[in-house]
Amino acid sequence: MGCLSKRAIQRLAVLHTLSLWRKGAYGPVRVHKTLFFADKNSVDATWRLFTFKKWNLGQYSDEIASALNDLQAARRVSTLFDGPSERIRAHVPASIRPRIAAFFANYFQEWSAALKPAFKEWAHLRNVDIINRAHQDATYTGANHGDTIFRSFSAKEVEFDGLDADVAEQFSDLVDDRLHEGLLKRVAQAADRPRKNEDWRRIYFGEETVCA
Amino acid sequence: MASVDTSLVRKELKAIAARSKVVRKLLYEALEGLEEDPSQYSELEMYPAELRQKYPDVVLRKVYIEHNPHNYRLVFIHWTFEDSSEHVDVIYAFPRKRGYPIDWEQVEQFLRDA
Repeated sequence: MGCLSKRAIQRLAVLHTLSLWRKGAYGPVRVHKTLFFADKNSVDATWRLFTFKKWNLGQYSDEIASALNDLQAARRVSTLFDGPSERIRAHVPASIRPRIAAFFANYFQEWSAALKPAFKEWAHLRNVDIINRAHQDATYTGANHGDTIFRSFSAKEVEFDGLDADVAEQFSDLVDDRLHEGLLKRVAQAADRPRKNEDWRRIYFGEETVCA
Repeated sequence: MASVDTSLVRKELKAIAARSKVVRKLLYEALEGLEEDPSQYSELEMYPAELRQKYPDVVLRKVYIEHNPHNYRLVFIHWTFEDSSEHVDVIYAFPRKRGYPIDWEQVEQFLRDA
């Protein structure tokens, strides 16, 4: 059995969604809307992935914004300024991408099924059309500015029956910004110093070195 | 045989070695394994592309040290040089419950107690 934190699940969902754009998503508005309508059209309302509120540009999620920032810190998302907007790209090793898709298909079946039509409908519209259409949706017209439209599931960690422990660790590590910062720092430290062979037997176990 | 440098995680390894006799033995075997054949341990697949670009010769691997309730991970760099010699730098050693995310608060507590 494997376990993932809520934040890791949200980061994986954002990463998985971003991977659907072959050349990256033009701006965050379409990412928020694609994920909003995937959550909205998911049959399982008890497992909504993100909290959304009514904001200036329509249905907006602080949790998605936070996931994008964390993924950028973990080097899983990069932005490229391209024409009038920035292109947001996902960076996931090719070997791991299908595993993430399979994870959502297995454990968030309704959401995964709802993501496909949401992507088809919202992913490639012009920003102005996205905003106009999103503003006509009942979730927007029926709410006041700042109102919460949907609330994400409440568990901090979720255990998944049948999820391989190694795969769960791999998913967590993939989106762990702190681990990546640490790896970059420590690899640089190790690379910049002379190679040294330590007598670890003596240091940790009080043994004298036997071999030369 | 690979040369092994653990100086970046000295405090952590000393703390792990002090946990229990079994864990101490497992740590000994792990370090011996690193020395004998570092490539026997599985590679980390998920490290950033930036790292691969900057250090193309770097291979990161991990070692499990597990004896319930003690679960630890060692993360190390496996260097292979032109003359076929090998070197290992252990860069992380921390507690981790199998199948769970890294609990950084627990890692910090572990370092404080070490």
